[in-house]
Amino acid sequence: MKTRTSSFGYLQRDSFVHRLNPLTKFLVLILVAILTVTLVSVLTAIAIFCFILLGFYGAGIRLRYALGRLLRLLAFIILIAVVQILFTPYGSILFYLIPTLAPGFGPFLPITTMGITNALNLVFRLINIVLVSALFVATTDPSRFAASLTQLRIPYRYGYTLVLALRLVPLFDDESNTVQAAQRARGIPIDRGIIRSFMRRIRYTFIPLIFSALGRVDALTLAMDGRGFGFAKTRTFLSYPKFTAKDWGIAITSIFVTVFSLWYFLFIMPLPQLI
Amino acid sequence: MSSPSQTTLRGRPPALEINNLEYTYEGSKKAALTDIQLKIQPGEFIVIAGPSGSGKSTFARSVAGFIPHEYNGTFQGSVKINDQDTRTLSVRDIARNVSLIQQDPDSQLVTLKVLNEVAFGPENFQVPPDEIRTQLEWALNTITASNLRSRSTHSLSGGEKQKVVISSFLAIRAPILIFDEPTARLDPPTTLGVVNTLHQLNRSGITILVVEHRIQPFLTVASRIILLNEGQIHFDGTPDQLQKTPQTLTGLGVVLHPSVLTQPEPQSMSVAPKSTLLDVFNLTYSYPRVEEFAPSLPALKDVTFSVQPGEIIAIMGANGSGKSTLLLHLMGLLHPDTGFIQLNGENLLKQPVSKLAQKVGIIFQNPLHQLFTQTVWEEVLLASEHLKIPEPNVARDRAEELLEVLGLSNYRDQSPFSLSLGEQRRLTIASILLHHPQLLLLDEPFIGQDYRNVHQIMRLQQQAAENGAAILLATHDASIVKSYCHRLLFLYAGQLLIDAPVQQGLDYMKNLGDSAYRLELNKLEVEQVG
Repeated sequence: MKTRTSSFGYLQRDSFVHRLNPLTKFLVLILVAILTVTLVSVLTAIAIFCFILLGFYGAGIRLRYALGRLLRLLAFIILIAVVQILFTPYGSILFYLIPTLAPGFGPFLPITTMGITNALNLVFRLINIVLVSALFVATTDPSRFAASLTQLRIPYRYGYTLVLALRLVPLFDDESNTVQAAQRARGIPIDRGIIRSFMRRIRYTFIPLIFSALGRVDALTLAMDGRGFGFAKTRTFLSYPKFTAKDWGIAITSIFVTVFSLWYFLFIMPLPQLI
Repeated sequence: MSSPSQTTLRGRPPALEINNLEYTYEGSKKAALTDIQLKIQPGEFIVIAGPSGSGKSTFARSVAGFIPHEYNGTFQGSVKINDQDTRTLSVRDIARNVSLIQQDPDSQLVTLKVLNEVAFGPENFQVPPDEIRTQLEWALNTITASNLRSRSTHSLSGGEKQKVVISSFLAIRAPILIFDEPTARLDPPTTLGVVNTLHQLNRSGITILVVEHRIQPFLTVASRIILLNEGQIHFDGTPDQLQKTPQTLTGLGVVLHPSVLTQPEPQSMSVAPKSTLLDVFNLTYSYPRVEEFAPSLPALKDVTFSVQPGEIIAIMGANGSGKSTLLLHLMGLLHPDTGFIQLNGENLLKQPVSKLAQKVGIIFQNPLHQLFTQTVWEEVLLASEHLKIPEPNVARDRAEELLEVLGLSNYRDQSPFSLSLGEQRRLTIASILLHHPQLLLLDEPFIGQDYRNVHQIMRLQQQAAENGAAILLATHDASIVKSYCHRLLFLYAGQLLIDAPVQQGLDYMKNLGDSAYRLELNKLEVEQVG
């Protein structure tokens, strides 16, 4: 308990990527998402994947952190891949998972080239979206992001929703650890028997957590009102992130690359269907 | 004290005027405040005291406008700030003039970094960035928290969080500040620091209202003391007048000079020690580092001591000195980097915590994390249900008795979450006493308790000790330690500096004083460099 390390959120560093304007990073995030969704090809997916790894490198964040994000989604990713492989009937058939068992019975579940390609495509796209979002969150100070959103004349309440969400994550992390420690200290075994332990966990973890979450949100609202949040339609910020030459460079380059790739791969030379 | 241009304070500072205020919370039959009639002039320093449930916090909320705006209840009479009725203003408008600093620092931190946190208020009031920076520097300096500026808020210790919360309100530069039990979690040196800071702020023209159980530290700085009892003003006068009429305090659970607490000196232990109950050897532990700016000093360093059955031991030390960390180790919830712990001669760290719970009971600082059931009654019986001790009939009788002693009988069928923090803390105490563990670990059980409740809590500990249990109690309150404890352990930066009988230990602590603290700090720094 009380590990005091938050597993998700902003990682305070002083790196090239951290120093970029939050809006630049947000633009790149959106563009990468657009490319990932529109360009259906394993090759482009790998290219984007490499680009994201470069981003992590530039942010001075270890690959272990990035992979840690993915591990949590592993079961989900595998499930998607398996479903794609099993149930895509198109493309040339490589083999059948269930061979002919008797004359007229089988074969079943053809594994096709298309199925494998689709699976790889989906998996890579999923990984790319998760990683690029993790990179954005890890390198962007939410308060700076909120400040720069108001520069786009977006009401500050929206930016602060993000700040609050990220503020609450480590809090809940700590609290669920503390609550579970408290259960053990009261002699409630949480590790015996799968179903019973699951039921106990629901009963004894979620009830206190929900109550403390509701209390937290209430108290936080009071604390914000008590310091004038919502006093006027606009508010000032301690500092406004500036657009530097680097920001302009990156923003323009990434817009150009995106538009070019979309034009080239969609109209001039369509990407191969397989791989 | 340099003061930046005061954007929130234009013209004459506001005065407070309260007329026939009466407030009843939704779902409650009894009024929390009745017939409050008060005038407060700019520049006053007022301490508001009274027993638990006397309406102190309700009073604070009413002045800050949270009541009636954020609570549903029946509000009668009026609160006027500078002749403006709080009902006609929004909470945010009021926040410009009145800052209410509440008890729990964690729930008042809004952002992720200290600088943003302190800037949050001025930003909302549209203060230009340059001015925010001056106000921010001033606010952090005033509370000696400048060293925390680049930290992220969730990595701070409890005391540090409180400092940041206070600076974040100071930065708004409201002319009226209300503090709800500002020193409840603080060690005596820090308490003195806070009292001094409030005094300075007051001298710079700010009106200060402090809601407190402990009025003693404020006697020399306060200009006026208001005692509340059962929602009414029981006394309103200067500290001098109060000291001349100490009978006003009778039965209020408020103590003027804690050193004359009603308890006699504790008798020497009633159980003759045969063998040790608990042995702690060379315990060393460091928390994993959160971020580059956080200091990575060990939370515990080479801590060694033994505990006999029947002992009541106080663990004292500054905020962040390792008190809670030590208690978590003794419950098996943290495992040391090096060193070991024996309970009855057996290795404590090898036993699963849920088994250990038969012999060891712990209450955390925040009771909310330890309440699991739908009713107070189920909560008290929860441990016996899982640990199978004591027998159900015995358990019920015992539960009945504990609720009675701790003043919780009336809440039997209520949800634990509907109780006040102080009541919840007492409920967690009841729930660990039920099955008579041999070792009781209490982390700051006295926050939000008046002296009546403190006495009841400690009576129960004394009974447990007479039956051969040992009690370890982390607290800052020297008067309670003096009245009820046998022995004192004093932690400094994770090291056990004092292990002595109480009176002797307190004397040592006095002798250590501030300069010794600093000496010790130099030593640590030298060690790190070496």
